[in-house]
Amino acid sequence: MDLILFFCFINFLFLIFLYVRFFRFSKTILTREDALLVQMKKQLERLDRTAVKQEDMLEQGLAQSRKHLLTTFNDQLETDVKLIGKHLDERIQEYTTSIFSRTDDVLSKAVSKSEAEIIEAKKNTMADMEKRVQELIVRAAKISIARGLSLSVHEEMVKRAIEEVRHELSE
Amino acid sequence: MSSANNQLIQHVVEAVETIKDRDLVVELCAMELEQKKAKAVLADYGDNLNQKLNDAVCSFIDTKPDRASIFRLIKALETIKTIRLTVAFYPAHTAISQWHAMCQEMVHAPVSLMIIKDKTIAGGANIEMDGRLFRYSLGDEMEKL
Repeated sequence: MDLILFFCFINFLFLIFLYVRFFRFSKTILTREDALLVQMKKQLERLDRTAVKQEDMLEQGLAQSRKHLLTTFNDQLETDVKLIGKHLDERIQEYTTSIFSRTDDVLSKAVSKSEAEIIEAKKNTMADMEKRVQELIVRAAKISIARGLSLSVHEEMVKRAIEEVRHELSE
Repeated sequence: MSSANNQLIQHVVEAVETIKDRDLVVELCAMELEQKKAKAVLADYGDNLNQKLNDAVCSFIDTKPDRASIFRLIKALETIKTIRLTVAFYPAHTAISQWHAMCQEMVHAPVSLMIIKDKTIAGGANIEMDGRLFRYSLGDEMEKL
């Protein structure tokens, strides 16, 4: 009986020991957990600060890059515009010169041809006019004579004409 | 009867002076063939027809010609030579008669005159006969000048 009590007592002591050990272990765990929590909080805060800082830096970098890009683009655009303008000017100049030279040739030929044609046409017109005027004068003279002569003279002239024909036929 | 008609036909042919006269006689012949009053039509012409032709046609119609005689007259009229006279004026009947007589004497055959007025002739005449043209006009002389 005593032995049993003894064993029970021993077990009780062992249980107490185990309880104490558990208590101490749990206390240690809790302490360490708090420390870890604090440490984690600190690390998180530091991480947050670092992130904010890096974000600022990134924004600044991006802004600078954008600015640089815009400046470069503007410069390139300006250069291209100048280059295109220069090429365009050259092409326009060449084209204009070509057109003017060709136009000059055509015009000079046309003018020389036209002058010759005008002179020729003028001559022909003058000759034609002169001929027509002469014809008109002769026609007017004929009609005037026809009107001016008396009927008897006309008849006499026709008689003479018939006699002339008779004379010509008899020869 | 037939010989008398021949003589009358000859008188008519000789009396025809111009193309107009010839056409008129042919027209009268056609009327006679159709037994219409050709003499009345002839009377309507009055002074526009020369007296010699008037008398000759009246004599011919008075004989009451048969169809054969009328056809002979038409054929005789078709064979008349035509002389074209281009002159500067319309001549009087007397002048036409004189020219006709001269032309008949010239060709020794019945002729009819075709008179054409053209003032550019000025004076004298251009005479066309048998395809030949004789220029005796002042107008042509002026052209030469």
